[in-house]
Amino acid sequence: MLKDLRNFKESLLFAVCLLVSGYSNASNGDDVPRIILALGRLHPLILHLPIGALLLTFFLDIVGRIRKNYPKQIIKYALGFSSLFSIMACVFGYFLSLEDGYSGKTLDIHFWTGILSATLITLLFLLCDKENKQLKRLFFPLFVGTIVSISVAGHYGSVLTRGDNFLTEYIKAPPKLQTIEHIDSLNMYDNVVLKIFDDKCTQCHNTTKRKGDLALISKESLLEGGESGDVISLGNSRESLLYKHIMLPISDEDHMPPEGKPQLTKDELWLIKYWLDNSGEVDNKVVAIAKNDTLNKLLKKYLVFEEKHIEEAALGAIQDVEDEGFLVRKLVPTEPELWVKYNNKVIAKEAVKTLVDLKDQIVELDLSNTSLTDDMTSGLRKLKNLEKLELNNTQITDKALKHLKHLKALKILNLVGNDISEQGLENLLTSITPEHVYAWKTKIDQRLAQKLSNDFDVKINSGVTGFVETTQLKVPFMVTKKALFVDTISIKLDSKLRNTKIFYTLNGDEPDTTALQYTKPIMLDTNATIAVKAFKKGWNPSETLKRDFYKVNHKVSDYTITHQPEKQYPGSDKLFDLELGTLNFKDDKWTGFLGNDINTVIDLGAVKPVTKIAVDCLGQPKQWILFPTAVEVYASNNKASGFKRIGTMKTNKDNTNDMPLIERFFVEIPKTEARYYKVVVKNPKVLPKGHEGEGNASWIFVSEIMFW
Amino acid sequence: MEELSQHFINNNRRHFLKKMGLGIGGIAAASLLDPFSSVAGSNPADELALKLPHFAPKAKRVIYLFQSGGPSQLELFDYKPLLDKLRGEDLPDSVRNGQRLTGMTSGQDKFPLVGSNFKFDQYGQSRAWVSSLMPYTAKVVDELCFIKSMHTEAINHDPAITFFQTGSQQAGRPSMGSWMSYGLGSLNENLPTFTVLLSRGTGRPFSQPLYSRLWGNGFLSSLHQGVQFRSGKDPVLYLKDPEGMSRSERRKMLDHINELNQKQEAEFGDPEINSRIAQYEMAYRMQTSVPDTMNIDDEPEHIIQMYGMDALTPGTYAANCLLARRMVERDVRFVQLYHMGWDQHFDLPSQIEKQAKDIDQATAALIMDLKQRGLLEDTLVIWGGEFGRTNYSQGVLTETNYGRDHHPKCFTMFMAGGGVKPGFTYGETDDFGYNIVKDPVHVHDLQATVMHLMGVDHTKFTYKHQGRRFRLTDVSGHVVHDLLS
Repeated sequence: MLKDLRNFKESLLFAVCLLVSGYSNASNGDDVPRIILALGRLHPLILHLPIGALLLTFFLDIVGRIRKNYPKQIIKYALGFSSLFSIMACVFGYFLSLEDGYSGKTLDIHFWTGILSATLITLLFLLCDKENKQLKRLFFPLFVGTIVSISVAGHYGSVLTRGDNFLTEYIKAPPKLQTIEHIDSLNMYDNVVLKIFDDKCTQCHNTTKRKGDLALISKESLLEGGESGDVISLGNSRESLLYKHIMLPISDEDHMPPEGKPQLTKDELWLIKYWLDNSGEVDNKVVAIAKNDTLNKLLKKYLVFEEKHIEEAALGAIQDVEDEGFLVRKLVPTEPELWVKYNNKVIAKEAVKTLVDLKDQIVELDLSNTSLTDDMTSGLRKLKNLEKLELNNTQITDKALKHLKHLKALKILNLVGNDISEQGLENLLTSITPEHVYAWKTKIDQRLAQKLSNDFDVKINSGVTGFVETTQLKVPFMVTKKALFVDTISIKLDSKLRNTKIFYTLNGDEPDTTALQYTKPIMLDTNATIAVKAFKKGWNPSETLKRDFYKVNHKVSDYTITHQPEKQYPGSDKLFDLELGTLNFKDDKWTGFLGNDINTVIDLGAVKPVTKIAVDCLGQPKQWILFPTAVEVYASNNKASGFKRIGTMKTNKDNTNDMPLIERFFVEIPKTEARYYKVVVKNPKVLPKGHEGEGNASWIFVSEIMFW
Repeated sequence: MEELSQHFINNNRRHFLKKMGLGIGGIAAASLLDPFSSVAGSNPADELALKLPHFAPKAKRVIYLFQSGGPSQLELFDYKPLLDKLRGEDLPDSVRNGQRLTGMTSGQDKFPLVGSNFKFDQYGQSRAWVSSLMPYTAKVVDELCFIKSMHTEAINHDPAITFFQTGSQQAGRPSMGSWMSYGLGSLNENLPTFTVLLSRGTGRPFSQPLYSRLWGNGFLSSLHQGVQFRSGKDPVLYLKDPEGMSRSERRKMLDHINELNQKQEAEFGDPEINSRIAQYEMAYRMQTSVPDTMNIDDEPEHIIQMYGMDALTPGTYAANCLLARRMVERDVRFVQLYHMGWDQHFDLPSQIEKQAKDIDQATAALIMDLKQRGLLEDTLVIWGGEFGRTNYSQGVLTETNYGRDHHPKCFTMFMAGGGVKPGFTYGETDDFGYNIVKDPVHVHDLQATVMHLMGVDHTKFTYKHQGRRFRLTDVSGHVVHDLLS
C-alpha cells in the first residue's frame, strides 16, 4: 500500500516535470484553460501548508533527538503531508505563473527553488525510515538544507507579490521625506506622478511583476507602454490609456487599480490629469503657479514642503532703506520677499548697513553700477535668504567674495566688470554653489571659467567669443545731402566710428589707402564723382560709396507754370531748389502732376547761353506714377510769345518696372542764347492697357529741372 | 441765476461721484508709482493695485522685437522641401481648405507653390532649422525657443498688429506694455516703464506706417502709454527746456504747478490730474536720464562690432537693439521695438535679403549681450511679426523671383531668456507650410504665456471699463506650459 502510494507520487512528480517542460516554452495566459488558471489562484492557499508542516516536523525532530524519544511515525506522516502539498504548491504555482504579468529572474528563482524544496521534502520522506547508518547521518543536514531551500523559495515568492522592498522597508533607514522649497520648478513627473505610481500602481506594475506588460517605475518604462501599446498621450489625458483605465467605474473589469487594492484619491486623479494635459514631455516642470491655484493647493496637501517662514518686513525698516536711496519692491505683493536696488551711482557704507534690517526679506539685491567697495560688503553676509545678487560694475575685489560665503541660498551672482580673480571665485565656490555666475570682464577668461564650471558644477559665463569674426566697416555717412550746386559745395563725411580713416577719389576711381585722405570737408567747384571708402585696423574696409555732384550754371528763381501740381505733392518751387528726390515719392522733394503736362516758363533774368537741360523723374507704375513720354524745350526772348522749339527728348520708357526708379532725362541743346526758356514735360495722360488702373489719369513726378 | 445754481448742482454731483468712484482709480495709479508711499498704505484701493504679480515672475523685463509687415516664415525658419519639389504647381484645395485670402491675391486664378530661394540648414545642439538669410541667428539658436505654430485671426496689417499688441483687432484697448506698466509698475524712477523704438527696414523702405495708438494706453491712465524714443536730436519730444531756462528754474516752476494741480485734484478728484503731476515729475527726471540712455559714446568698440556698424546710425534696427539693452539695463520694464518693411508681396527674394540683413546680427547680438551681462536671466526677448506669408507666389513666379501674400494660419516666432526653454522648438506645420499639424499657439496664448512669465495670471488681471472687465487676452488664451523652462 505504502509502496503503491510511493510509486504514484513518483509518477505524479514525473508527470508534473513533463507538464512543466511541455509548457515552459509556452505562451501567455490566453490559451491556457480557465480551469488551470483557477487552480493557479489556489497556489497562495496551498503553499503555506507544507511550510508550516515542515517547520513543525523539524521542531519535533529536534525535540525527539534531545528527549531521546524520537517519534518516527509522526515524522513520517508529517513529511508525507508536506511532500504532497509541496508538490501541489509547485503545480499550482506553475499554473499561476501562466497568468500574465509574471516573468523575469525572480520568478525563475522562485520556480526552481520551489521545485527543489518539494524534491527535498519528498527525499526526506523517503529517507526518514531507512535504517542504513550512512543515510541516517545524511538525514539531518538534508533537513536543514530543505528548510533553507524553502525559505529562499518563500522569500522570492513574497518578492513576486509584494515587491522587493516589502521585507526590508521598515528595517532600512526611513526614506527622506520629499521636501521641496518652492512649488515653482517642481517636476510634475519626478515629484508627484512617480510618487502616486509608487503608492498605488508599482506593486503590480514593476519590472519583476509586469502586469499587462506595463511597468510604471521609471520614465523609460512608462514610455515603453504595455501590451496595448502606449499608455500615455502627452497633452491629452482623454487619449491616454492609463487615464482611461483609472477613470473606469470600479465595477469594470479593466478598472485600475483592481477592486480591493488601494484606490486613487480624487486629488491624485486630478494631479494625473493635470500632468497629462499640461505636458509636452514627461518631465515638464511646473512653473509659477498662483497661490490660490488648484494645483498649488493640491500639491501643498500632497507633498511635504519645507516651509520657509519669513516675517513681513516692518514698514519702518523699508522706509529707512528707501531713505538711503534704495528702491524696494515686493516680488509678490502677498509675500514678504523683497527685491532691492540701489538707485544712484555713489553708495555709502551706512546705506548698505541699513539692509541688515531687511536681512530675512531681501531675496534679490541689485547693487550694480555703484561705487560699492570691499569694505562695504561685510553686512551682505547676513542676507541669508538672498537668491540673486548683482554686483556688476562696482569696485569690489576678491576680498568682498569672502563675505558672500555665507549666502547659502544664492542662485545667481553677477560679478561682471569687477576685479575678480580665479582664486577668489574658486574660494567662494568651495563654500556655496550658486547655479549661475556671471564673470564677463573679470580676470577669469573663457578657459578658467570652463575649468571652474567643471570643477564645481556651476554655470560660469565669461562673455561671448567667436560671435563676430571680422566685421566690415560701414560706408562713411555722407552728411551733405545736396548733389547739385551752383558755385561751390562743401562735402562732409562721417565715419561714425572713432579712429577710422576715410579715403576718397574725385573721379570715381576705387579709393585705396594711397588715395586722398579725408580730414576736413571736401570743397568742389566743378562736376565730380566722389568715391569714398573707410579703413580701420582690425576691421574689413567698407564698401565704396559713389556719389555724383553736378554743378549747374543757373539757379532758377523766377518762373511761371501753367498747371499747378496736385495739392498732395505740391510746391512747384521744389522743381528748382537743387534738391533731388529719393525713391520715396512721399519724401517732400517730389512734385506730382495728375493727367497734366508740366509747362513752365523760366526767366533767367538776362539773355544767357544754355547747352543742356535735365529733368529728374520718378517711375513707379504700381503707384500709378509713369515716366513722361517726352521733354521739350523752347526758347524766346519774349516772356509771352515767340517760343521756338530748340530741343526734344523722347523718353521711350515702357513703364513696366516693379520697383520705383529715378531717371534723369537730358535734353541736348544746340547752343542757344535767350532770356526765357520753356520746358514741357509730357504726361502720358492715361494709364496704359493692362495696368490695373487702365484708362485713369496717370501721374508724373518730377523733383528737379536743371540748366547748364 | 438758474444756470448758475444748476452749475453748482452738477458740479457737486460730479464731485461726489468722482470722490466715491473714479477717485479710487487715481489713488491706485499714484500708488503704482510707489507701492510703499503713505497714500498707498492707507487706502483700500491699493488692494487692487498691489495684488500683482500673482506669483514670482521669471521675467522682470521684456524686449519685444516686433517685425512689422509679416516676415516670411518660409524664407527664415520653417523649412519645407516639399514646396521646392512642387514649385509652380497649384495649391491643392484640400490644403487651402477654404481659407480666405486678401484682396491682393483673391483675384489670382492660380496659386503656384514656391519654396524658399535660400538654403536651409540645422544649427547648434538643438539642431534648429535656420536659413542662410540669418547667419548670426543661426549661431545663437541654442538660446532660442522657436514657436513654429503661431496663428492669428486677422489677415491685414493694422488689425493684425493691433491684435498682437492689444488682444483685439479693433483699436482702442491698451497695448501689452501699457497693461504691464499698469499691473506691475515701474522698476526705476527715472525712465518710463514702457518705451517704444521704431526703425524702417531696407527691404521695403516705403511700407505701411505705424500708428502711435499701437502703444497707446487705451482706457488705462495715460501714465501707462508707451513713450516713443526718436532717433533725431530730441529723442523724446518736448523734453528740453527752452533756451535760457535753468534746471532750478524749471524745478521751481514745476513745484508751483504741482501745488496748483494738487489743489485742483483735492477739489475735483479727477485721476488724470494725478497722472499729470506724475508725468511732469517723470519728464523732469527724464531731462537727465534720457540723454544718458541715448548716448552710446561709452559703448566699447567690441560691442559695436557685435551689433554691427549700423548700431552707430541712429534710427536703425541695430541702434535700437543697442538702446533696448541700455534701457533694460536701466530697468525699463517693457521695451517695444518695431522694424517695418517685412511686407514683401513682390520681389520677395531680393527684399527679404536686405531686410534680414537689417535685423539678423543685431537681434543675435542683443541676445548674447544680454546673456553675458546676466540680464537674459530675467529679461524676455520676443521676436516676431503679425502674421506669416503664403506658401504660393503672389504675382508671377519666375526662375528667381516671386512674392508672398499675408498668411494668418501659421508663422514662426521665437523668444529667448526670461523663463522660456532655450534651444527648443515647439509646434509643427504641414509639409506644405500652410496649416498647423501640432501644438497650435494662438496670439492670445502667446500673450497669456508672456504675462505668465511676468508673474501675472492673465485671467485674473482685468480692468473694469464702461461696465465690463477687460483683459489683454479678452476671453480666451491658455498659457503654453511647454515653453516654460
